[in-house]
Amino acid sequence: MSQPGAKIGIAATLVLVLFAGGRASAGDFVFVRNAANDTAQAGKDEMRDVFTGKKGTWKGGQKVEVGLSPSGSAEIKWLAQELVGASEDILLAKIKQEVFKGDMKKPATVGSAAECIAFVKKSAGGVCVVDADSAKSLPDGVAVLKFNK
Amino acid sequence: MKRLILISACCAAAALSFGRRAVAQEFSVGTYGAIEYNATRTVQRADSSATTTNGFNLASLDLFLRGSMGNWSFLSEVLFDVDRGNDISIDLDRFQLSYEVGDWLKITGGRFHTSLGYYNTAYPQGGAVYLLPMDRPELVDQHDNRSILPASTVGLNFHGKLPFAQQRFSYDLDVANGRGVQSDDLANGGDINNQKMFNLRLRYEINGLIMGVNGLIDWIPPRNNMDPATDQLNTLREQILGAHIAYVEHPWHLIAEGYHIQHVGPDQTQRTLAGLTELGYTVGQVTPYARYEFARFPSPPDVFWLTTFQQSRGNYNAVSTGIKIVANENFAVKIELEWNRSDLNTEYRAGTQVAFGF
Repeated sequence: MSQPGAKIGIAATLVLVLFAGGRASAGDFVFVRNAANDTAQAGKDEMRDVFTGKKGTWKGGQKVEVGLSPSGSAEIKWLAQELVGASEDILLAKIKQEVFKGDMKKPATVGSAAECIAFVKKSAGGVCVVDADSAKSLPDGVAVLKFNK
Repeated sequence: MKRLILISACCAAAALSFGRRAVAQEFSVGTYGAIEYNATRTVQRADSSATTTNGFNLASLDLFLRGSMGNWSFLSEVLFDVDRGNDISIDLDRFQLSYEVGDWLKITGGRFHTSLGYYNTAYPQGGAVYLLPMDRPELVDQHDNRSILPASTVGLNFHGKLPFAQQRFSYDLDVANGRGVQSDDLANGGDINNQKMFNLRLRYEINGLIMGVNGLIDWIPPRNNMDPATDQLNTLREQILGAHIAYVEHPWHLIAEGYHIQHVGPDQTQRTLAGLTELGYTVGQVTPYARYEFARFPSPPDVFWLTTFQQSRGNYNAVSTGIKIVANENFAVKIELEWNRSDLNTEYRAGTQVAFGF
Protein backbone atom coordinates (compact mmCIF):
# COMPACT_ATOMS: atom_id res chain seq x y z
CA MET A 1 0.00 0.00 0.00
CA SER A 2 1.37 3.45 -0.84
CA GLN A 3 2.24 5.78 2.04
CA PRO A 4 -0.63 8.26 1.41
CA GLY A 5 -3.02 5.33 1.12
CA ALA A 6 -1.81 3.85 4.38
CA LYS A 7 -2.19 7.18 6.14
CA ILE A 8 -5.73 7.56 4.88
CA GLY A 9 -6.54 4.04 5.97
CA ILE A 10 -5.15 4.60 9.47
CA ALA A 11 -6.94 7.93 9.79
CA ALA A 12 -10.22 6.39 8.72
CA THR A 13 -9.79 3.59 11.22
CA LEU A 14 -9.04 6.05 14.01
CA VAL A 15 -12.15 8.05 13.15
CA LEU A 16 -14.27 4.91 13.23
CA VAL A 17 -12.84 3.83 16.59
CA LEU A 18 -13.38 7.27 18.08
CA PHE A 19 -17.01 7.42 17.03
CA ALA A 20 -17.87 3.82 17.81
CA GLY A 21 -16.12 3.63 21.13
CA GLY A 22 -16.67 7.20 22.29
CA ARG A 23 -20.46 7.26 22.66
CA ALA A 24 -23.45 4.93 22.97
CA SER A 25 -25.27 4.00 19.82
CA ALA A 26 -28.47 6.00 19.25
CA GLY A 27 -31.40 4.53 21.20
CA ASP A 28 -29.43 2.86 24.04
CA PHE A 29 -31.67 3.25 27.07
CA VAL A 30 -32.29 1.24 30.20
CA PHE A 31 -34.83 1.09 32.99
CA VAL A 32 -33.65 1.98 36.47
CA ARG A 33 -35.33 1.01 39.74
CA ASN A 34 -34.96 1.46 43.45
CA ALA A 35 -32.50 -1.16 44.70
CA ALA A 36 -35.00 -2.27 47.34
CA ASN A 37 -37.27 -3.44 44.52
CA ASP A 38 -36.16 -7.02 43.92
CA THR A 39 -37.61 -7.16 40.38
CA ALA A 40 -34.24 -7.33 38.64
CA GLN A 41 -35.57 -8.04 35.17
CA ALA A 42 -38.84 -7.89 33.30
CA GLY A 43 -40.17 -8.57 29.85
CA LYS A 44 -41.98 -6.32 27.41
CA ASP A 45 -45.47 -7.32 28.56
CA GLU A 46 -44.71 -6.65 32.20
CA MET A 47 -43.08 -3.28 31.52
CA ARG A 48 -45.97 -2.27 29.29
CA ASP A 49 -48.34 -3.14 32.15
CA VAL A 50 -46.18 -1.07 34.52
CA PHE A 51 -46.22 2.03 32.30
CA THR A 52 -49.92 1.78 31.43
CA GLY A 53 -51.24 1.22 34.95
CA LYS A 54 -52.22 -2.43 34.65
CA LYS A 55 -49.55 -3.45 37.14
CA GLY A 56 -49.80 -1.52 40.37
CA THR A 57 -47.45 -3.45 42.63
CA TRP A 58 -44.04 -5.03 42.16
CA LYS A 59 -43.64 -8.64 43.28
CA GLY A 60 -41.84 -7.42 46.40
CA GLY A 61 -44.94 -5.43 47.38
CA GLN A 62 -43.68 -1.96 46.48
CA LYS A 63 -46.25 0.28 44.85
CA VAL A 64 -45.36 1.05 41.23
CA GLU A 65 -44.36 4.70 40.74
CA VAL A 66 -43.68 5.73 37.18
CA GLY A 67 -41.37 8.54 36.13
CA LEU A 68 -41.80 9.75 32.57
CA SER A 69 -39.46 11.83 30.49
CA PRO A 70 -41.00 14.87 28.81
CA SER A 71 -42.78 14.67 25.50
CA GLY A 72 -40.28 14.91 22.64
CA SER A 73 -37.40 13.38 24.58
CA ALA A 74 -35.37 10.51 23.18
CA GLU A 75 -36.29 8.46 26.27
CA ILE A 76 -40.03 8.69 25.69
CA LYS A 77 -39.65 7.92 22.00
CA TRP A 78 -37.65 4.81 22.87
CA LEU A 79 -40.18 3.79 25.51
CA ALA A 80 -43.10 4.13 23.12
CA GLN A 81 -41.38 2.16 20.41
CA GLU A 82 -40.26 -0.63 22.73
CA LEU A 83 -43.49 -1.04 24.70
CA VAL A 84 -46.26 -0.40 22.16
CA GLY A 85 -44.48 -0.16 18.82
CA ALA A 86 -45.93 3.27 18.17
CA SER A 87 -45.24 6.97 18.44
CA GLU A 88 -44.99 8.72 21.80
CA ASP A 89 -48.39 10.39 21.19
CA ILE A 90 -50.07 6.98 21.23
CA LEU A 91 -48.32 5.87 24.43
CA LEU A 92 -48.87 9.19 26.22
CA ALA A 93 -52.55 9.23 25.23
CA LYS A 94 -52.90 5.70 26.59
CA ILE A 95 -51.26 6.65 29.89
CA LYS A 96 -53.45 9.74 30.18
CA GLN A 97 -56.54 7.64 29.54
CA GLU A 98 -55.60 5.29 32.36
CA VAL A 99 -55.08 8.27 34.70
CA PHE A 100 -58.46 9.66 33.64
CA LYS A 101 -60.15 6.32 34.32
CA GLY A 102 -58.67 6.38 37.81
CA ASP A 103 -56.69 3.20 37.24
CA MET A 104 -53.28 4.84 37.34
CA LYS A 105 -51.55 7.54 39.32
CA LYS A 106 -50.31 10.41 37.20
CA PRO A 107 -46.63 9.71 36.39
CA ALA A 108 -44.02 12.06 37.74
CA THR A 109 -42.12 14.07 35.14
CA VAL A 110 -38.37 13.50 35.14
CA GLY A 111 -36.59 16.00 32.92
CA SER A 112 -33.14 14.47 32.94
CA ALA A 113 -31.21 11.35 33.85
CA ALA A 114 -30.25 12.96 37.16
CA GLU A 115 -33.91 13.68 37.99
CA CYS A 116 -34.87 10.14 37.03
CA ILE A 117 -32.21 8.65 39.28
CA ALA A 118 -33.20 10.95 42.15
CA PHE A 119 -36.87 10.03 41.67
CA VAL A 120 -36.14 6.31 41.73
CA LYS A 121 -33.83 6.63 44.73
CA LYS A 122 -36.50 8.20 46.91
CA SER A 123 -39.38 6.01 45.76
CA ALA A 124 -39.34 2.33 46.73
CA GLY A 125 -41.37 1.33 43.67
CA GLY A 126 -40.04 3.94 41.28
CA VAL A 127 -39.03 3.17 37.71
CA CYS A 128 -37.98 5.36 34.82
CA VAL A 129 -35.75 5.42 31.75
CA VAL A 130 -32.20 6.75 31.43
CA ASP A 131 -29.62 6.56 28.70
CA ALA A 132 -27.19 3.67 28.97
CA ASP A 133 -24.22 5.93 29.71
CA SER A 134 -25.93 7.42 32.76
CA ALA A 135 -26.72 3.92 34.00
CA LYS A 136 -23.03 2.99 34.10
CA SER A 137 -22.48 4.87 37.36
CA LEU A 138 -25.61 4.64 39.46
CA PRO A 139 -25.53 5.74 43.08
CA ASP A 140 -26.27 3.44 45.99
CA GLY A 141 -29.95 2.67 46.21
CA VAL A 142 -30.50 2.65 42.46
CA ALA A 143 -30.09 -0.32 40.13
CA VAL A 144 -30.77 -1.29 36.56
CA LEU A 145 -33.94 -3.22 35.78
CA LYS A 146 -32.92 -5.50 32.94
CA PHE A 147 -35.33 -5.34 30.02
CA ASN A 148 -35.90 -8.67 28.29
CA LYS A 149 -37.28 -7.72 24.90
CA MET B 1 -58.84 5.46 85.13
CA LYS B 2 -60.16 7.95 82.59
CA ARG B 3 -56.98 9.98 82.96
CA LEU B 4 -54.89 6.85 82.33
CA ILE B 5 -56.88 6.06 79.18
CA LEU B 6 -56.47 9.64 77.95
CA ILE B 7 -52.72 9.63 78.56
CA SER B 8 -52.39 6.26 76.80
CA ALA B 9 -54.34 7.51 73.80
CA CYS B 10 -52.17 10.62 73.52
CA CYS B 11 -48.99 8.53 73.68
CA ALA B 12 -50.30 6.16 71.02
CA ALA B 13 -51.19 9.06 68.74
CA ALA B 14 -47.77 10.63 69.23
CA ALA B 15 -46.04 7.32 68.52
CA LEU B 16 -48.02 6.92 65.31
CA SER B 17 -47.20 10.46 64.23
CA PHE B 18 -43.49 10.22 64.85
CA GLY B 19 -43.22 6.67 63.58
CA ARG B 20 -45.01 7.37 60.30
CA ARG B 21 -42.81 7.62 57.23
CA ALA B 22 -43.21 10.65 54.99
CA VAL B 23 -45.43 9.64 52.08
CA ALA B 24 -45.43 11.58 48.85
CA GLN B 25 -48.72 13.09 47.87
CA GLU B 26 -49.87 13.92 44.40
CA PHE B 27 -52.62 16.25 43.24
CA SER B 28 -53.47 16.98 39.66
CA VAL B 29 -56.08 18.85 37.70
CA GLY B 30 -57.21 17.86 34.25
CA THR B 31 -59.67 19.17 31.75
CA TYR B 32 -61.33 17.36 28.88
CA GLY B 33 -63.91 18.34 26.36
CA ALA B 34 -65.16 18.39 22.83
CA ILE B 35 -66.84 20.63 20.31
CA GLU B 36 -68.83 19.22 17.41
CA TYR B 37 -70.67 20.04 14.26
CA ASN B 38 -73.46 17.74 13.11
CA ALA B 39 -75.82 17.70 10.14
CA THR B 40 -78.73 15.27 10.50
CA ARG B 41 -81.52 14.28 8.14
CA THR B 42 -84.42 12.47 9.83
CA VAL B 43 -86.95 10.56 7.73
CA GLN B 44 -90.14 9.43 9.45
CA ARG B 45 -91.13 5.88 8.62
CA ALA B 46 -94.85 6.58 8.90
CA ASP B 47 -95.11 9.12 6.08
CA SER B 48 -91.55 9.54 4.75
CA SER B 49 -91.54 13.18 5.75
CA ALA B 50 -88.03 14.48 6.34
CA THR B 51 -86.38 17.20 8.35
CA THR B 52 -82.79 18.37 8.22
CA THR B 53 -80.91 20.06 11.00
CA ASN B 54 -77.35 21.24 11.34
CA GLY B 55 -75.53 22.99 14.09
CA PHE B 56 -72.52 23.37 16.31
CA ASN B 57 -72.62 21.65 19.67
CA LEU B 58 -70.75 22.07 22.91
CA ALA B 59 -70.45 18.36 23.48
CA SER B 60 -68.96 18.51 26.96
CA LEU B 61 -66.49 20.14 29.29
CA ASP B 62 -65.03 17.99 32.03
CA LEU B 63 -63.10 19.19 35.07
CA PHE B 64 -61.09 16.36 36.56
CA LEU B 65 -59.43 16.38 39.94
CA ARG B 66 -57.25 13.63 41.30
CA GLY B 67 -55.18 13.26 44.43
CA SER B 68 -53.33 10.42 46.05
CA MET B 69 -51.24 9.79 49.11
CA GLY B 70 -49.84 6.35 49.72
CA ASN B 71 -52.61 3.82 49.25
CA TRP B 72 -55.38 6.46 49.38
CA SER B 73 -56.66 8.25 46.33
CA PHE B 74 -59.49 10.50 45.30
CA LEU B 75 -60.92 11.62 42.00
CA SER B 76 -63.83 13.71 40.91
CA GLU B 77 -65.25 14.62 37.56
CA VAL B 78 -67.58 17.57 37.08
CA LEU B 79 -69.23 17.47 33.71
CA PHE B 80 -70.87 20.33 31.82
CA ASP B 81 -72.92 19.24 28.84
CA VAL B 82 -75.90 20.33 26.80
CA ASP B 83 -79.17 18.49 27.24
CA ARG B 84 -82.14 18.20 24.88
CA GLY B 85 -83.60 21.43 26.18
CA ASN B 86 -80.47 23.25 24.97
CA ASP B 87 -79.55 24.01 28.58
CA ILE B 88 -76.07 23.47 29.91
CA SER B 89 -76.40 20.96 32.70
CA ILE B 90 -73.87 20.27 35.40
CA ASP B 91 -73.32 16.81 36.78
CA LEU B 92 -70.94 15.24 39.25
CA ASP B 93 -70.25 12.29 36.98
CA ARG B 94 -67.71 10.63 39.27
CA PHE B 95 -66.75 11.24 42.89
CA GLN B 96 -64.59 8.47 44.27
CA LEU B 97 -62.48 7.75 47.31
CA SER B 98 -60.31 4.66 47.06
CA TYR B 99 -58.02 2.61 49.24
CA GLU B 100 -55.70 0.10 47.62
CA VAL B 101 -54.94 -2.84 49.86
CA GLY B 102 -52.98 -4.58 47.11
CA ASP B 103 -53.37 -5.95 43.60
CA TRP B 104 -56.03 -8.29 45.00
CA LEU B 105 -58.26 -5.58 46.51
CA LYS B 106 -59.01 -1.93 45.88
CA ILE B 107 -62.05 -0.47 47.63
CA THR B 108 -63.79 2.53 46.10
CA GLY B 109 -66.67 4.46 47.59
CA GLY B 110 -68.73 7.21 46.06
CA ARG B 111 -70.23 7.74 42.64
CA PHE B 112 -68.62 5.72 39.89
CA HIS B 113 -69.36 4.06 36.60
CA THR B 114 -71.06 0.71 37.17
CA SER B 115 -68.73 -2.18 36.40
CA LEU B 116 -70.70 -3.34 33.36
CA GLY B 117 -68.97 -4.61 30.26
CA TYR B 118 -65.94 -2.88 28.82
CA TYR B 119 -67.11 0.45 27.43
CA ASN B 120 -68.72 1.90 30.54
CA THR B 121 -65.56 1.86 32.66
CA ALA B 122 -62.93 2.17 29.92
CA TYR B 123 -64.33 5.43 28.50
CA PRO B 124 -65.69 7.78 31.16
CA GLN B 125 -68.29 10.26 29.99
CA GLY B 126 -66.10 13.32 29.52
CA GLY B 127 -63.19 11.69 27.73
CA ALA B 128 -64.21 12.04 24.08
CA VAL B 129 -60.54 12.42 23.20
CA TYR B 130 -60.00 8.75 24.11
CA LEU B 131 -63.05 7.40 22.26
CA LEU B 132 -62.87 6.30 18.66
CA PRO B 133 -66.38 7.45 17.65
CA MET B 134 -67.72 10.84 18.62
CA ASP B 135 -69.99 9.57 21.40
CA ARG B 136 -70.43 6.70 23.77
CA PRO B 137 -72.95 4.12 22.47
CA GLU B 138 -76.59 4.43 23.51
CA LEU B 139 -76.14 1.47 25.84
CA VAL B 140 -74.16 3.73 28.17
CA ASP B 141 -74.74 7.25 26.77
CA GLN B 142 -75.58 9.46 29.71
CA HIS B 143 -76.63 12.53 27.76
CA ASP B 144 -80.16 13.17 29.00
CA ASN B 145 -79.75 10.02 31.10
CA ARG B 146 -80.90 7.88 28.19
CA SER B 147 -78.47 5.04 28.73
CA ILE B 148 -80.08 1.61 28.61
CA LEU B 149 -77.76 0.27 31.29
CA PRO B 150 -77.44 1.82 34.77
CA ALA B 151 -74.21 3.52 33.73
CA SER B 152 -73.53 5.31 37.02
CA THR B 153 -74.21 4.33 40.58
CA VAL B 154 -73.49 5.39 44.16
CA GLY B 155 -72.06 2.90 46.61
CA LEU B 156 -69.02 0.68 46.97
CA ASN B 157 -66.85 -1.06 44.39
CA PHE B 158 -64.46 -3.86 45.25
CA HIS B 159 -61.90 -4.58 42.56
CA GLY B 160 -58.88 -6.82 42.34
CA LYS B 161 -56.86 -9.41 40.54
CA LEU B 162 -57.19 -12.96 41.82
CA PRO B 163 -53.89 -14.29 43.17
CA PHE B 164 -53.53 -17.30 40.88
CA ALA B 165 -53.12 -18.08 37.17
CA GLN B 166 -50.62 -15.20 36.83
CA GLN B 167 -53.29 -12.75 38.00
CA ARG B 168 -55.18 -13.09 34.73
CA PHE B 169 -58.56 -13.23 36.47
CA SER B 170 -60.01 -10.05 37.89
CA TYR B 171 -63.26 -9.16 39.57
CA ASP B 172 -65.46 -6.18 40.32
CA LEU B 173 -68.23 -6.27 42.88
CA ASP B 174 -70.55 -3.24 43.11
CA VAL B 175 -72.84 -2.79 46.11
CA ALA B 176 -74.83 0.36 45.55
CA ASN B 177 -78.04 2.34 45.95
CA GLY B 178 -79.21 1.23 42.54
CA ARG B 179 -81.91 2.72 40.35
CA GLY B 180 -84.32 5.49 41.33
CA VAL B 181 -87.96 5.65 40.27
CA GLN B 182 -86.96 6.37 36.67
CA SER B 183 -83.75 6.07 34.72
CA ASP B 184 -82.75 9.74 35.07
CA ASP B 185 -83.19 9.56 38.84
CA LEU B 186 -79.80 8.57 40.21
CA ALA B 187 -79.83 7.82 43.92
CA ASN B 188 -77.10 10.27 44.91
CA GLY B 189 -78.47 11.20 48.30
CA GLY B 190 -79.80 7.95 49.66
CA ASP B 191 -81.55 4.77 48.67
CA ILE B 192 -85.26 5.32 48.02
CA ASN B 193 -86.26 1.72 48.61
CA ASN B 194 -83.38 0.65 50.92
CA GLN B 195 -82.72 -2.30 48.64
CA LYS B 196 -79.24 -2.44 47.24
CA MET B 197 -78.03 -3.20 43.76
CA PHE B 198 -75.47 -5.97 43.41
CA ASN B 199 -73.31 -6.34 40.35
CA LEU B 200 -70.49 -8.79 39.71
CA ARG B 201 -68.09 -8.60 36.77
CA LEU B 202 -65.53 -11.32 36.17
CA ARG B 203 -62.77 -11.02 33.60
CA TYR B 204 -59.98 -13.06 32.12
CA GLU B 205 -57.16 -11.25 30.36
CA ILE B 206 -54.39 -12.78 28.31
CA ASN B 207 -51.96 -10.98 26.00
CA GLY B 208 -54.25 -7.94 25.97
CA LEU B 209 -57.42 -9.89 25.11
CA ILE B 210 -60.11 -9.27 27.73
CA MET B 211 -63.13 -11.53 28.13
CA GLY B 212 -65.75 -10.92 30.76
CA VAL B 213 -69.24 -11.57 32.05
CA ASN B 214 -71.64 -9.60 34.22
CA GLY B 215 -74.54 -10.36 36.50
CA LEU B 216 -76.54 -7.52 38.06
CA ILE B 217 -79.64 -7.50 40.25
CA ASP B 218 -81.52 -4.50 41.56
CA TRP B 219 -84.98 -3.55 42.81
CA ILE B 220 -86.58 -0.51 41.21
CA PRO B 221 -89.02 1.38 43.45
CA PRO B 222 -92.59 2.09 42.31
CA ARG B 223 -93.41 5.30 40.48
CA ASN B 224 -96.77 6.94 41.10
CA ASN B 225 -97.20 10.21 39.17
CA MET B 226 -100.99 9.91 39.17
CA ASP B 227 -100.74 9.24 35.43
CA PRO B 228 -102.00 5.80 34.47
CA ALA B 229 -100.17 6.03 31.17
CA THR B 230 -96.74 6.12 32.82
CA ASP B 231 -97.21 4.94 36.42
CA GLN B 232 -95.34 1.89 37.61
CA LEU B 233 -97.12 0.90 40.76
CA ASN B 234 -95.07 -2.16 41.68
CA THR B 235 -91.45 -2.77 42.56
CA LEU B 236 -89.59 -4.15 39.57
CA ARG B 237 -86.69 -6.54 39.86
CA GLU B 238 -84.00 -5.64 37.31
CA GLN B 239 -81.76 -8.49 36.18
CA ILE B 240 -78.95 -7.86 33.72
CA LEU B 241 -76.73 -10.53 32.21
CA GLY B 242 -73.93 -9.44 29.95
CA ALA B 243 -70.80 -10.59 28.19
CA HIS B 244 -67.97 -8.67 26.59
CA ILE B 245 -64.76 -9.14 24.73
CA ALA B 246 -62.18 -6.47 24.03
CA TYR B 247 -58.76 -6.21 22.43
CA VAL B 248 -57.52 -2.64 22.56
CA GLU B 249 -53.80 -2.92 21.96
CA HIS B 250 -52.10 -0.79 19.34
CA PRO B 251 -52.81 -0.93 16.42
CA TRP B 252 -56.02 -2.93 16.97
CA HIS B 253 -59.25 -1.77 18.57
CA LEU B 254 -61.99 -4.39 18.96
CA ILE B 255 -64.88 -4.26 21.42
CA ALA B 256 -68.03 -6.39 21.49
CA GLU B 257 -70.66 -6.40 24.24
CA GLY B 258 -74.14 -7.85 24.61
CA TYR B 259 -76.80 -7.61 27.33
CA HIS B 260 -80.02 -9.30 28.31
CA ILE B 261 -82.02 -6.93 30.53
CA GLN B 262 -85.13 -8.05 32.37
CA HIS B 263 -87.61 -5.97 34.35
CA VAL B 264 -89.71 -8.38 36.37
CA GLY B 265 -92.95 -7.30 37.98
CA PRO B 266 -95.79 -9.21 39.64
CA ASP B 267 -97.69 -9.45 36.36
CA GLN B 268 -95.05 -9.33 33.65
CA THR B 269 -91.46 -9.88 32.67
CA GLN B 270 -90.16 -7.45 30.06
CA ARG B 271 -86.94 -8.19 28.21
CA THR B 272 -84.57 -5.96 26.28
CA LEU B 273 -81.63 -7.15 24.23
CA ALA B 274 -78.89 -4.67 23.36
CA GLY B 275 -75.30 -4.72 22.22
CA LEU B 276 -72.52 -3.19 20.22
CA THR B 277 -69.46 -4.05 18.15
CA GLU B 278 -66.68 -1.58 17.47
CA LEU B 279 -63.65 -2.07 15.27
CA GLY B 280 -60.68 0.14 14.46
CA TYR B 281 -57.12 -0.13 13.15
CA THR B 282 -54.48 2.53 13.64
CA VAL B 283 -52.04 3.53 10.94
CA GLY B 284 -49.68 6.24 12.10
CA GLN B 285 -51.83 8.91 13.69
CA VAL B 286 -55.05 7.87 11.92
CA THR B 287 -57.59 5.27 13.00
CA PRO B 288 -60.47 4.38 10.68
CA TYR B 289 -63.29 2.79 12.66
CA ALA B 290 -66.80 1.39 12.50
CA ARG B 291 -69.41 0.68 15.14
CA TYR B 292 -72.64 -1.28 15.02
CA GLU B 293 -75.14 -1.10 17.87
CA PHE B 294 -78.66 -2.36 18.33
CA ALA B 295 -81.50 -2.65 20.83
CA ARG B 296 -84.63 -4.80 20.82
CA PHE B 297 -87.23 -3.57 23.29
CA PRO B 298 -90.30 -5.38 24.58
CA SER B 299 -93.84 -4.81 23.36
CA PRO B 300 -95.78 -3.31 25.00
CA PRO B 301 -93.07 -0.81 25.99
CA ASP B 302 -91.03 -1.43 29.10
CA VAL B 303 -92.87 0.26 31.96
CA PHE B 304 -89.59 1.49 33.52
CA TRP B 305 -88.72 3.50 30.42
CA LEU B 306 -92.13 5.07 29.82
CA THR B 307 -91.04 8.48 31.20
CA THR B 308 -87.57 8.68 29.64
CA PHE B 309 -85.97 8.35 26.22
CA GLN B 310 -84.63 4.81 26.01
CA GLN B 311 -87.52 3.34 24.03
CA SER B 312 -88.82 6.54 22.45
CA ARG B 313 -87.72 5.53 18.94
CA GLY B 314 -88.39 1.81 19.42
CA ASN B 315 -86.04 -0.90 18.25
CA TYR B 316 -83.00 0.37 16.39
CA ASN B 317 -79.93 -0.60 14.43
CA ALA B 318 -77.16 1.95 14.03
CA VAL B 319 -73.94 1.92 12.07
CA SER B 320 -71.39 4.67 12.39
CA THR B 321 -68.08 4.89 10.61
CA GLY B 322 -65.33 7.45 10.48
CA ILE B 323 -61.74 8.32 11.09
CA LYS B 324 -60.00 9.61 14.19
CA ILE B 325 -56.84 11.65 13.75
CA VAL B 326 -54.62 11.98 16.82
CA ALA B 327 -53.01 15.34 16.28
CA ASN B 328 -50.89 14.92 19.42
CA GLU B 329 -51.26 13.47 22.89
CA ASN B 330 -53.83 16.14 23.80
CA PHE B 331 -56.01 16.65 20.71
CA ALA B 332 -57.98 14.45 18.36
CA VAL B 333 -60.16 15.20 15.35
CA LYS B 334 -62.93 12.90 14.17
CA ILE B 335 -65.02 12.81 11.03
CA GLU B 336 -68.01 10.50 11.18
CA LEU B 337 -71.07 9.27 9.31
CA GLU B 338 -73.97 7.51 11.00
CA TRP B 339 -77.00 5.61 9.77
CA ASN B 340 -79.50 4.92 12.54
CA ARG B 341 -82.73 3.12 11.65
CA SER B 342 -85.45 2.68 14.27
CA ASP B 343 -89.13 1.75 14.37
CA LEU B 344 -89.98 5.47 14.32
CA ASN B 345 -87.52 6.98 11.85
CA THR B 346 -84.16 6.76 10.12
CA GLU B 347 -81.46 9.28 10.93
CA TYR B 348 -78.58 10.08 8.61
CA ARG B 349 -75.87 12.08 10.33
CA ALA B 350 -72.56 13.57 9.28
CA GLY B 351 -70.46 15.05 12.01
CA THR B 352 -67.05 16.25 12.98
CA GLN B 353 -65.58 16.65 16.44
CA VAL B 354 -62.50 18.19 17.97
CA ALA B 355 -61.75 16.64 21.35
CA PHE B 356 -59.05 17.50 23.84
CA GLY B 357 -57.65 16.37 27.14
CA PHE B 358 -55.02 17.96 29.41
